[in-house]
Amino acid sequence: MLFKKDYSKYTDEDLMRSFVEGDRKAFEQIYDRYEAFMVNFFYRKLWNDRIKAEDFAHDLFTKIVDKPESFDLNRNFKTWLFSVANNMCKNEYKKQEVRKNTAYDVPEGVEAKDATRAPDTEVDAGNFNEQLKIELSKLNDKHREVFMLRHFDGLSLNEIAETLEINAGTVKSRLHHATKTLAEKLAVFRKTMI
Amino acid sequence: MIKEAENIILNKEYFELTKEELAAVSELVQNAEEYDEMKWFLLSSQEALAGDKISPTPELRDKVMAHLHQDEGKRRFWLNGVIPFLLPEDKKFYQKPAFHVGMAALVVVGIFIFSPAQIKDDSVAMNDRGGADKEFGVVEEHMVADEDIIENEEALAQELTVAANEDADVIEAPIVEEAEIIEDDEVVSPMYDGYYEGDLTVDDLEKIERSKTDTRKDFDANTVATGSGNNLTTTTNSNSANNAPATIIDATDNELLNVEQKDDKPGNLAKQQKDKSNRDKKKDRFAKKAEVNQNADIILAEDDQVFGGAYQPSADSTNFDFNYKSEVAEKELLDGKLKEKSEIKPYSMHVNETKELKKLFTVFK
Repeated sequence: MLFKKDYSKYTDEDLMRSFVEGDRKAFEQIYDRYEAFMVNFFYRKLWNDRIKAEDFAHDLFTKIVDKPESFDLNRNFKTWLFSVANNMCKNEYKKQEVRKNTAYDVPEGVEAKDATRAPDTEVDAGNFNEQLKIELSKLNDKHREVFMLRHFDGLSLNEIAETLEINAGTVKSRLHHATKTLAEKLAVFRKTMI
Repeated sequence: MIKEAENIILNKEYFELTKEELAAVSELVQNAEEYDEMKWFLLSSQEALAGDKISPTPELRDKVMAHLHQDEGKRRFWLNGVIPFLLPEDKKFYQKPAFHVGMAALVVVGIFIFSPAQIKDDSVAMNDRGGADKEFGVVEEHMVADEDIIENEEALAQELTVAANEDADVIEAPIVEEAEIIEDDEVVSPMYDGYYEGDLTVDDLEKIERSKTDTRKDFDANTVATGSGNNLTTTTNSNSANNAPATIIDATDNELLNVEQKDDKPGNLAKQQKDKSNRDKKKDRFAKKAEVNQNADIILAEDDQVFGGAYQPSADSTNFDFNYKSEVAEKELLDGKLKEKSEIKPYSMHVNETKELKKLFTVFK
């Protein structure tokens, strides 16, 4: 080969096609693109546990290395990757459910829903980030998931719909509901922050 | 494609929005103030969430790349996949394949343990021979079996031969009896029986003549069907499949029709003589009846003459003689016809005869 391939110009699907045909460099390119996404996704979903997030990310990528043919080349790679990661998290939730019934310890990163503070205390804290987390935790799981996929993971509405395997309209309504709710509750910070 | 209101809010000011964009953001915000609040919230939340992101460690990349560049043989050691497959951690015990395999094995073993060891069925043959004579036993059994088969075949052939001979005897006898029946049931004119009391008309004579010809035709046809020409030869080979001797029964038309020649039994001769005498008596009775009828006609003619009826005395003698002569001639003719008719076999009787013959022959087929 006289010229090196410029993998950065390849789409995800083309890279996967090349990897299925035996091009390991193509996989390296894919890994570079989605390593941070996946680690952060697992980090967010698995109670902000960094080690667990990296373990899950490792498992996810080694699965792709072992069975690249499991990816349907007609599908969108990004949504397929997120849906696989989402299913892995669901399995982890089930395991934690079993453990929770036999132990008193709460997984790391999980906060009690009734951990509310007085409004004046919240304002005084002035910590928008913490308040955002609190309000997010108060949200319904479905609404929170859509909001986080949109604003934390950066997925579009259609990508969220494919990842969660739900209707795009449903995603839109859930996202609007979550955004409106959070905006109303965190509007008080605007005056202090500006 | 769904237009994302968040993107519009983040990238544009309220006064820059087109009608379509306004319609898209109207679900989230209704006016410029709300629009600005939403814009601030989205920017702040994105910044806050971005601050929560972590960067993966280089060890993770090294591990994944090491796995990628491993030899495929090392990567896929079959034994490493067996235990995770049989005992997956994320499933309950009854959902694990190892549990299923164990239960299946238990069922199979249970069937072998609880199945009856010995078959206690009287209808099943038992092998009582010991192990010592097993080596030669097989050959001997074959030889004994062959001898038994040969003996059985011979015995069967003898039985079939005897049975066939018996059948042949049985066949011959009824044919003779059938001929007797034909002779005995020879039918004469209804008038000979004494039951017919009226005079026969010309139509009746024609009918009798027709039935006579039909009977002959049928009989000829039957003869052709059962045998060729005068030799009515019927061969019964019912036992040929069993290699038994075939039985051949010969009969001729003459034998069937004139059974008297073939019948040698004294009882039959006496019976035939008796029948003949009966027939003669019937003929005499008929002749007497005819005379009585003639006399009655003459008396009636005389009565007409005396009482001046339709009878004309002028032409009396000649007409009477002529009528009388014609009547006599007619009766003579009738007698001749009846004599002929006495030899006719009725159609129904002939049918019975053929049926009987067919029945006899079909039995041995």
